[in-house]
Amino acid sequence: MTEPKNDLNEFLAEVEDIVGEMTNNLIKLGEGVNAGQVDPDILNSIFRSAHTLKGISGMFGLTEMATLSHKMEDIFDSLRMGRLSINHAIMDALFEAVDLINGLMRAKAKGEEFGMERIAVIIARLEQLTGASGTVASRSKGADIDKGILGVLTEYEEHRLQENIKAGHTIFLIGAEFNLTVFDEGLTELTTYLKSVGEVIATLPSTGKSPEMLHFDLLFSTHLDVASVEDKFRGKNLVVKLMKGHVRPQGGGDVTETEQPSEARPEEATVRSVSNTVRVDIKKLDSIMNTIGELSQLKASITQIVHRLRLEMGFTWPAIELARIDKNLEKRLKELRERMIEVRMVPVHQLFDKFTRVIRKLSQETGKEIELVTSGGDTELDKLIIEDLADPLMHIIRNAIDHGIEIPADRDKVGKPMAGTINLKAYPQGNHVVIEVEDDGAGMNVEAIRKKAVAKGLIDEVSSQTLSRQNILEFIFIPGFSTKDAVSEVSGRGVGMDVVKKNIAHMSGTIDIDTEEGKGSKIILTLPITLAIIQTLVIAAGARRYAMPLAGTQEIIDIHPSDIKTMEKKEVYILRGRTIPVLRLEQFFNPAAEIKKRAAMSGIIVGFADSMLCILVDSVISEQDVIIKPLGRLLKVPGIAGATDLGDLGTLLVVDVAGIISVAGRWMRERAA
Amino acid sequence: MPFNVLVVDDSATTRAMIISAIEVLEDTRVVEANNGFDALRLLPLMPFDLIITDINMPDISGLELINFLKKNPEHKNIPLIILSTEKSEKDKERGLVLGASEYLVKPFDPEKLRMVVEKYLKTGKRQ
Repeated sequence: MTEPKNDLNEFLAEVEDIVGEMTNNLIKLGEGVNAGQVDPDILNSIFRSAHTLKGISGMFGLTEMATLSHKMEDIFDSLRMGRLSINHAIMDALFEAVDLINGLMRAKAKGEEFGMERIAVIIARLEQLTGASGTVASRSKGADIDKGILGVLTEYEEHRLQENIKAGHTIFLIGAEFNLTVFDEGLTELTTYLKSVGEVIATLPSTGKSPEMLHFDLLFSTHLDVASVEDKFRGKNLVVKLMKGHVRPQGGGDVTETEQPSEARPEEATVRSVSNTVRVDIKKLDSIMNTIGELSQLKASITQIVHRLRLEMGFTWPAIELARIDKNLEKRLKELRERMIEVRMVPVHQLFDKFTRVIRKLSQETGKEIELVTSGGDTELDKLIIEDLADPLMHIIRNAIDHGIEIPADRDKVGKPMAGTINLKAYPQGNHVVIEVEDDGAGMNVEAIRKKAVAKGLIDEVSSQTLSRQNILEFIFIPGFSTKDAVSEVSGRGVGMDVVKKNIAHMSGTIDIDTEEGKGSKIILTLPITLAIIQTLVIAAGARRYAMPLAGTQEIIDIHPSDIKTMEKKEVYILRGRTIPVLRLEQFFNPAAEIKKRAAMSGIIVGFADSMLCILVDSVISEQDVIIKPLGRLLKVPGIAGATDLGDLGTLLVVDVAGIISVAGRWMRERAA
Repeated sequence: MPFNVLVVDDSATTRAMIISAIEVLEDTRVVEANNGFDALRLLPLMPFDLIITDINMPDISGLELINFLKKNPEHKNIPLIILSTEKSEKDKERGLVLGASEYLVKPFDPEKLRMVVEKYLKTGKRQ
C-alpha cells in the first residue's frame, strides 16, 4: 500500500498466474467429470485459487472481482466438501466466470472500464446453481481416529478422511524422516508414490530424532489391504501404522516395521533461499541488454589497445597479458549475452493454455465440436515473442474454426469424426522455434485462389498457369485478397491473413501454408528464439539506409564539408579541441564509392577514449527500436551485425559499431604505417 | 536486535500486503515463506518473535504448522496469528485449540493487523 502502482503490478501478475492455474485445473476437472472420476486434489487446489483471488482482490478494493471469486469459492467449497455434485452446467458457468476474471484483470491492467452487467449475470447464475442442486449435509460422524491427529486436520481434510472411511478404504499413518535441508525432495517422492495407489489426506510434520531431521506422518488412505501395503514398503525407511480398515486374519492389528536409522545426510544445514523465482519487468532486461551492448563496445576499444601495444611493444608481458584478458573478457561477454537471452525465455504452454479457454468458447458460439491437441508446450521462446504471438495465433485459430472445420453434420457426411481437431504444436529448429496450427477441416481450393487472383487483376491468366501451388497460396497474404464474397469460394481463409503475416514479419518470423482440399490446412510459423530489442538511429549513407545501435553513440553533430580536415593523409574532425578520425560509412561498405560533395552531413561520434571515431553519414532520419535478425553464418560482413525489418522502411542492415571501430582502427594504423 | 516476524502465505500479493501493513513498526524485520515447507526450513535459521500464517496452503496446512510449532520446545512460545478466510468455523476453533493466539479474517484491515502484531511483539518475552 506504500506503492500502489507496484503493488498493482504484483497483484495483476499473481491474478494472471491464478487464472492460468484455474483454467488448467478446470480443464482437468472437466475431463474428470466426463470420465465420472473427480480428483479431490484438483478440486482442493482450484478452491485454493478462488480463495486466494477473493482475498487479494478484496484487499485491493476490487469489489466485483472479490464478489465473483467469492461465489466461485463457495461453489468449489461445496464441491470439495461433497455438498454439491458437479455437472456440465456448473462447469460452463465456472469457465465463464474465469473468463470474466481474465477480462476484468486485463481491463484493470489497461485502466479501462469493464462491463459490470456481465458480472452481475454470472454471479446470479452461480448463486442459482449453488441453490438448485440439493445440498448434501456433511455428516460429522466421529471417526475413531486418534484425537491428537483429528485435532490438527482442517475441516476439508477431515471430510476427505470420512469420505475414504465411507468408501471402505484402509487408513494408514506412514511415518518418514528426512534431513531438514532436503526434506521436500524425499517427501515429494514419497507423496507422489502414495498418490498413485491412494490418497494422501494430510501431511503432519513433527520434530525428528535430531535437530537436523524432520519427521512427517502422512495420513494415507488406500483400497489396498494391510498385507499389500506392508509388502510395498518393505525395506524402505518408513513406519507404517494401521489406523482403520481391513486387516487380514494373519496380519496383525498394528503393522509396524522395524525402524532402521534414516539415511543420515552428512552435509551441514544450509541457508536456503526461500523463493527461487523473481518477477522482472521485461524493460529492465532490455536495459541490461543495452548495457551489454555498450560493454561490447568498450571491449572493442580494449582490443584496439591490445593491437597497438603489440605493434609498439612487441610480445612483451603487458601486451601478452592484456591480450589474454581481452580474450577472456570476450568469452565472458558472450556468456553474459547468452544467459540474458535464457532469462527472457518462457515455455510456449503459457500461450497454448490460453487457447484452450478460447476454443471452448468458440466451439460453443459456432456450434462446432473442436478438440484442441497441443504438443511441445515446453519449447521456450522469448517472452516478448510469446506476447506478440498471441494475437496472430488467435487469428489463425479463429480462421481454422470459422472457415476450416466443418459443422458436425457435414463432417459426418464425408466420414470424418464429428469433432474437428486443431493441433497446436511447437518444436525447436536450430535458432528458431516452429509453431504449427493444423486443422482437419475442409482445406483450401488452390484453383479457386488462382482464379480469384486473376479476377482481381493481380496476375494474368497465362502467367498464373505457371505458378507453383505454393506461389498461388501466397496470394492469401495480399491485403484485401479475401473478402466476404470469397468465403464460400476459397474456404474463406485469408481473412486478415495479411495482418497476421505483417505481425509475424515484425518479429522477424515467417509464415507458410500447407493445405489439402477436404483434408485440412496447416499454418507454419517460424520464429527466432529471441527478440532482443535495441534502440537504433536510422541513417542514410550514399544510396542506402542503415540502422545504427544508439548504445555507445556519444553525440550527433551537424557537419559542414569544411569541418573535415586532413592530417597525415587522414580525414579528421576536431571536436572541442580533440582530434577524432573520420570514417565515411558509405566508403566503409563500398571503398570504390565516389564521394559526392554535400552541403551538410551528420557526424556520429562513437567509441571511447583512444578509439573514438566520427562516423560520417548523409543524414540521420529517425530513432527506432528494432529487432536484430542475424544474417546467418554464411554472410559474415565486417561492420554488419544483422538485419532488421522496419515494415514501411523496408529491410535495413544493422551496423555493428564495435566491429567498425576495430576494423577502422586497423585501417588507420595500416594507412599511417 | 530487531523483532523477526515470519509471514507464511502462498499468495505473493497477500504477503506483500501483510508486510506493507506491519513493516512500519519499529525494529521489525519480516521474513516471507511462500508455503509451509519454506516455513519449516526457515524456523531453525533464526529466532522468530511472531508468526502469521494462512491455513489453506498447498503442502501442509496452517493447522499442521501450528501443531508442529507447539510440540517443539524451541518454538512453542512463539505467538501465532492465523490470517485466513471466514470459511470454516471448525478450522478457526481447531487453530485456537492448537495454540494460536489470534484468528484474523481475510481480507484484513491493515490497521487492525498492525495493532495485533504490535501487541504481541511488545508482550513478547525475548531476552
